[in-house]
Amino acid sequence: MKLKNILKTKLKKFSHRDTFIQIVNRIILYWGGTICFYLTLWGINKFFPLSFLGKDFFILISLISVGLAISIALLQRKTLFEIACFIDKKSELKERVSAAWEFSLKKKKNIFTPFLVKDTLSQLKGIKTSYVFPYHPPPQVMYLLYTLIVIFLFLSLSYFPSLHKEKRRTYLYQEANILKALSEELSEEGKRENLKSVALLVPRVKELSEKTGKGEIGPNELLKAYDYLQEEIEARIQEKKGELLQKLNSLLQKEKQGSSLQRKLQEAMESIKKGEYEKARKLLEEFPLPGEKKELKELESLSKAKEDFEESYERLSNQLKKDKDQKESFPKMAQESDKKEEVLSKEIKSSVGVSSRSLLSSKEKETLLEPKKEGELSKVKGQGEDSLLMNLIENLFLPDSSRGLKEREAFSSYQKLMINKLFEEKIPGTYKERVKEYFTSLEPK
Amino acid sequence: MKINEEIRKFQKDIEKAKEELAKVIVGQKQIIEGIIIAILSNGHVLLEGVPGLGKTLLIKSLGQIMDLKFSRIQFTPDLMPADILGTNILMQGEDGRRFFKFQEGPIFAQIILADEINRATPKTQSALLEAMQEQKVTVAGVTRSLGTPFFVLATQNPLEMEGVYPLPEAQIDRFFFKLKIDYPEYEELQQIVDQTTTEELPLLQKIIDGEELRQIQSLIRRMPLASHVLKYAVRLTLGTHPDSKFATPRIRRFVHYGASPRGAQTLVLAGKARAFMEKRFNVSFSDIYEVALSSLRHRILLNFEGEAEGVDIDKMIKDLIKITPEKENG
Repeated sequence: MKLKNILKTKLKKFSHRDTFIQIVNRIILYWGGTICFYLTLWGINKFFPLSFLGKDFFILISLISVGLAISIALLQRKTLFEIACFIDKKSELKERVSAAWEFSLKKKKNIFTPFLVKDTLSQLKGIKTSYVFPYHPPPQVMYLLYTLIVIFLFLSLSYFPSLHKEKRRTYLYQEANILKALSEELSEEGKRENLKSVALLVPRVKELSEKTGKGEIGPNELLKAYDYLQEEIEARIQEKKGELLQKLNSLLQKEKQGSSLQRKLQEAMESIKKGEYEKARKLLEEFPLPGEKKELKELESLSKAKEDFEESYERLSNQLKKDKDQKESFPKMAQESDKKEEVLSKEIKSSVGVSSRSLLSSKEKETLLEPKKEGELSKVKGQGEDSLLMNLIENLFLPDSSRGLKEREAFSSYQKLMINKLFEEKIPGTYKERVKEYFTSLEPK
Repeated sequence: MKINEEIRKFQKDIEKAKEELAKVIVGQKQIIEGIIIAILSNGHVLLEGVPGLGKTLLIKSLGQIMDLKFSRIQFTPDLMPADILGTNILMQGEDGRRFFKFQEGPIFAQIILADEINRATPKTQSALLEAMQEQKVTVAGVTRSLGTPFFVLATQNPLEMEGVYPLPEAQIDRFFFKLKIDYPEYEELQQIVDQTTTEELPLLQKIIDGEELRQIQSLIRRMPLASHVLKYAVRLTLGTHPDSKFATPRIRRFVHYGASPRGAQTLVLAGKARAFMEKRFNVSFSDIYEVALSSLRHRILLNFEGEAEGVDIDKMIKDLIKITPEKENG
């Protein structure tokens, strides 16, 4: 093997080492810079929500930075002559290596060149690549570390919510807007047709929208509220349906057996049972029954509202699922967030005494959703109960001391409603005492 | 003999020559090294120092070691060019006819000691300097070559002394090196006194002859010099010019003219000779630094302000070396 080739191989070894170090250092700097950039965006996200932030964005900018680091390091790698100069300087070889490399490349022969190359190779024998190119992290690493520490300190300040929460807030705003739109729609419909039960739903949806928008309600609480509203509307539908069917049934008995009107009435009743209210309304057009038709319209609106809440429930639970996936990319922060939520959930359970799926126990739900029979007490209906739900939800965000106060407020409003109902509605006397006893047992200590 | 062995032999001989000189010259290692570098580079040396520092002894000893024809010219104000170069003498032949015969002057030697060169008039000085440059002399229309190798070692008293004729800039530039002999240190002086008052000076061995010197000179010129070292030498030379971007602020302020291209040539050649003496096969930056003072100090001409302030040229060159980066864009 020619001396020149041996020298070239030696120099290449040094060159590879240098290139590797340059790549590593550049990756540290570029990727570190990318993390700083991402964290800065994260900080900005607290004040101005940035929808593109997330695992995918982080992976993308990380890949770009690493790719850029490698490309630039390769493009700017030293030539073998520069490597030779570096070895000379570092090992104090008095420009032997650079001169040997330069003269070995020259076509014109110099009598000194073979001696110079030999001398250089013998000098290079004892020199390790790690001695000439020791690994030193780039000096900017310290600045990078300081920047990261400052950003982390800034982000970990308690009065700044975490990114996870902020992201939720972004979609909670959307939920709030949807709820607002729904409340406006229900309000318009209720006003136009004078639908009492629909109108009663409006302030609750509106309140829920406002509290969600302000961030007073978390996603899990909102999910429970959706669930509760669905079930409540369903109970209202069942109740209305029962009443309407009873009325139609009595009308049916008055009609002539086998007449076309009786058939239509029967068909209308079937449609109502199936939930096809529009069809039922068309069948009843011939009948002079304005009250029943209005009730049908009410049923239709309620069922649409229920569908909307079902959709919202679905959408929110999907979003929470996505959140869970994202948590995996930031496990530590997610854990903290989970812990907070767990604590919150426990508080809910302890204060309300219900499962996490719903604010009410299944037994309570059954009682609440049971269709009203004639003369029987309809337990949880009306404005007072809406405030109770909101109070309960609100209660979850309050400290223990003020929680009791809120409970009492909720109870008193409920109690007032109960007293009014007892006076207004036709309730059998025997039940009045039972209702009073029930509320007395619920009274907060 | 193989070239490698030849190179090794030459390097050894140079080492021996230095050792021989050290027998009679106490200390002054830098001066001895400077003179040997100049001889190996085929250049002339201007040696500056007060009288009695061993300048003449050094040159005499060198003549003995080198086995070269040695002559000495003592410059005085009444010395004429013909006293150096030689002259045509009217002779009478056996047949009674008269003819002119050229009587060679002391310049027809291989090592010339031009003692106290600045005591002679500029006319006489220039006669020597012309011979130094051309290595030829022309007398009465006839040009005669001087023997090779040809080496002039001129000594001069410091310019502050009275009765001296400073060498013109153009002529001083022809000297390869200007070396300054300092007064010996305490221990050195003690040794000099002891050595010169007890016994006779030892006889020196002849180490290198003219042919060998020519071969060494030829080899040295072929010594590999990496491009970045060459560029460094050029930058250093340009840095002595007040209008150069490589110049220091002091050079810009106090220098009238910087070193000529001969300065850069000297830096490189002297660097090569030094590397050869150091038994290396290439020139390093350190070789250039080491020869920079001797190569450039007599080629820098101070302006009025510089003269008035008594600026030290050596210090200016040292500053220039400090700020001139080895890397081109460094």
